[in-house]
Amino acid sequence: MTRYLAGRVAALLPVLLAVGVTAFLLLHLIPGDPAAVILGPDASAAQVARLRHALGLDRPLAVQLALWLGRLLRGNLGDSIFLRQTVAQAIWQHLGPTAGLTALAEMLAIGAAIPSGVLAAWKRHSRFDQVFMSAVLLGVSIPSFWMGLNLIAVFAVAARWFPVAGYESPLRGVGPWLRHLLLPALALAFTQAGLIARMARDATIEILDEDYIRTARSKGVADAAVLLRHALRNALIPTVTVIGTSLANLLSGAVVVESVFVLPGIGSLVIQSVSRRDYPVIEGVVLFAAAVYVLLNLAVDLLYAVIDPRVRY
Amino acid sequence: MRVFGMNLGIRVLLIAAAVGLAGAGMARGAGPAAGGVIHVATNAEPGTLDWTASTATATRLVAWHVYETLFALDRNYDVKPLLAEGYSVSADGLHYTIRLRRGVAFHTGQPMTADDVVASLERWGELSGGGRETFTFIKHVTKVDPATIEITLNRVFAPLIDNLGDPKQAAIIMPQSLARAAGAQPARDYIGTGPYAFQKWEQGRQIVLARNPHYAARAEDWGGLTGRKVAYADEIDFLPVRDDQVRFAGVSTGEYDLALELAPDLYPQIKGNPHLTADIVKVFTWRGVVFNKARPPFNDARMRRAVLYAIKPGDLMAAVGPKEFWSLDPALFFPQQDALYTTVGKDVYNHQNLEKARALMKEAGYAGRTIALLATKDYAWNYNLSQVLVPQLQAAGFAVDEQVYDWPTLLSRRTKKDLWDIFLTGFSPSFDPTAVIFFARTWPGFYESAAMDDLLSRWGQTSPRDAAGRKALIEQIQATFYTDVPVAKIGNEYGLEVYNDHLRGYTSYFDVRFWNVWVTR
Repeated sequence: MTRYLAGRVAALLPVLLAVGVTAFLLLHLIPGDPAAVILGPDASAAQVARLRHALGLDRPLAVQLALWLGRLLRGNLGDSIFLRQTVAQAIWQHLGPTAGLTALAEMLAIGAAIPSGVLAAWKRHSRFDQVFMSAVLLGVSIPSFWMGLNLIAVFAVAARWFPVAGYESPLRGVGPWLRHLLLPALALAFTQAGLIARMARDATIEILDEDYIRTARSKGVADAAVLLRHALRNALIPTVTVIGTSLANLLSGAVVVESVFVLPGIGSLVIQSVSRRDYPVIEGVVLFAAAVYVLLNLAVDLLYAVIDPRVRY
Repeated sequence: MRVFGMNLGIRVLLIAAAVGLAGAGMARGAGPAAGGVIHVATNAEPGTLDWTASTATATRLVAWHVYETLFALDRNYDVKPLLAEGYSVSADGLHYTIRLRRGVAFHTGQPMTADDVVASLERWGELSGGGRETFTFIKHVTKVDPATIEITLNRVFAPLIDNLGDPKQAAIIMPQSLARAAGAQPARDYIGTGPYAFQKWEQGRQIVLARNPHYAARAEDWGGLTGRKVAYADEIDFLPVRDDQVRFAGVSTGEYDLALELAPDLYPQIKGNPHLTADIVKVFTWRGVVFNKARPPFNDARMRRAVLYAIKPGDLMAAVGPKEFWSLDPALFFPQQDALYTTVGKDVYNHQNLEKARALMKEAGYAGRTIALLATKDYAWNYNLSQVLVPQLQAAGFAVDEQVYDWPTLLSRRTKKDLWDIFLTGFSPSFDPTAVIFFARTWPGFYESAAMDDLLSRWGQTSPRDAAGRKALIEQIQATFYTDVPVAKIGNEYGLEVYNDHLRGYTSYFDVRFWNVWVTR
């Protein structure tokens, strides 16, 4: 187990290096210029050139890459061009809203998706199952920004239960924090719930057709026990896989939702940095996202062993 | 981002907003009241708050609460003193003595002195495009006594005071130590003399300014960026909200007091809501077609004139928004800018004539070379305009290759002389002909004209007090604009801002200001 874990973590390094170098090259090959953004539309070419020089952006790409890699090996992601902080500080500072948003969205999604998915499988082809399948289809089809705008219209503008947008730190109270995060989390959870519920239903249906379920029933085990102890536990394995990969996707969905709801998270940081060409921040966030992705996959693999005693590392 | 499916969402949102506000009765206070927080939903987060370093609107509209200049525009766009008490010019026009107002202090409480002013102006001369241009005429800036400076010129330069008051190339005054420390880089400590002081900047969330307790206000009622300024609100929060539906929703619920730059299609909903006021900003921007004059075919002025005859500005502007949001006007400046406005060129502008266009193209020897037109979908107006412009150009016989990029890419490509022929842009107001950006050789478009250079240098010799001489020159400058056609003007576009009942005392200007404004809450 420890060896397995060490191997997997070690494999992280080449992945991050490849991602980092690719991101660096792609970013610097696409046109655009942070100096022009800082100086504004009326700046002259000479002014832009001087600031580019001051920022070190006029050096050969290979030199810039070497400098960046050198810093990276020392664990330094560099300094943001625009923010008055290091890239690591910027990521750390923007992590809170994104972590809160994705965790809340995932909880809402799982809370709604697994019970309804299992129930739909149990009552296969019933009216409930039909409604369930339609809802799932809607969930995976509706873009989260559109869902977000509608949630704002109904719950923030018409009902006034929630603020239109913005963020409060949980340090200033869980209530205000939740009030600001619930609508964006719902917008995000809708798609997520669709994906998870469909997998939960399909996996449960498959399990319910297994011989050991029939055996359990024929022994007189109660329906609820069959469903919870035998079916659900086995159906969780493919479902956890979907949850794991979709949690990573949730981060990309968060980019859009954070923008609509003005949450100062990683997604907003990415959008802002891309439009300003804040290279060090974009590179840092890409690396960070890659690490999260790899670690999430690792976590899912480890979870298999917890859920299924047959899986050992 | 405009997506087909969004329309329903917008409608739901607007109906809900109208219903919601109808129920919210708001108290109407009588006079100005101190206290409270003004929440402003902006469309973009600035790159810096250093107003000398950046010409961006996002920087300016926050920074001018924090920083002040020696001179500034009044409500009629005329230059008046702000931190200066007044000035005098020697008979030869080479020595400007500027007296500073006494009792002005920085946000730190430290009094503003001539040393701070000299260091700040020198930094402006190094950092700002307009400052560098102005400093080519300046021999030196010296301190006469703690409350007086002298600017010595190497040749007569009449727009000196105007340039010191230009809000787009702002000569902000900061403490000497900070000016020296920042040098040619954007400043990192935002200390000025303005009615509000910088408090904090949480990236992606808010920029907070707080009332400056040391503020020394002028007494005059000049409006604009000078005269008496009172900081009624305790705090101004600038919140970057990218989606204009969300900005509108927030101003409807009262979470924001004012929302910037809304899409004109929201205007009917704003008009129908008694709690909201639409501010149509008429001194906003004008749209134009910029030519690359550094390579064929548009290095030939006849080809540029051909485009002027090929386009139909009314149809183009209709792509930008409803009729309330634009006007057809040949001028380089806005009608509100009395001293600079003229209609010279109206016999050429908005006179589509394909025969004339084709004749000019033939005369210039145009043989169907493909024209690279740069456009972006990042801004709806840009893409929409290009969709109307391309067929208009094609109808006249131009072969056009429309290339769509993201805005930063477009900005980068347009600086390279061999990558493009045409791009569309907007020109926010200029306050002096020498400050019109596309008259500069280095600005994308690469305009070089001996006739224009001569006119601009004569403008530099003509005293602002010689109104008739200036008027004649402005007319010639605009006439040359229509013979050289460095840019083909399309039309003036208006901006749309909205504010709610909570915000009082607000007046429209080319960009938003929140001194002399209070909130009722």
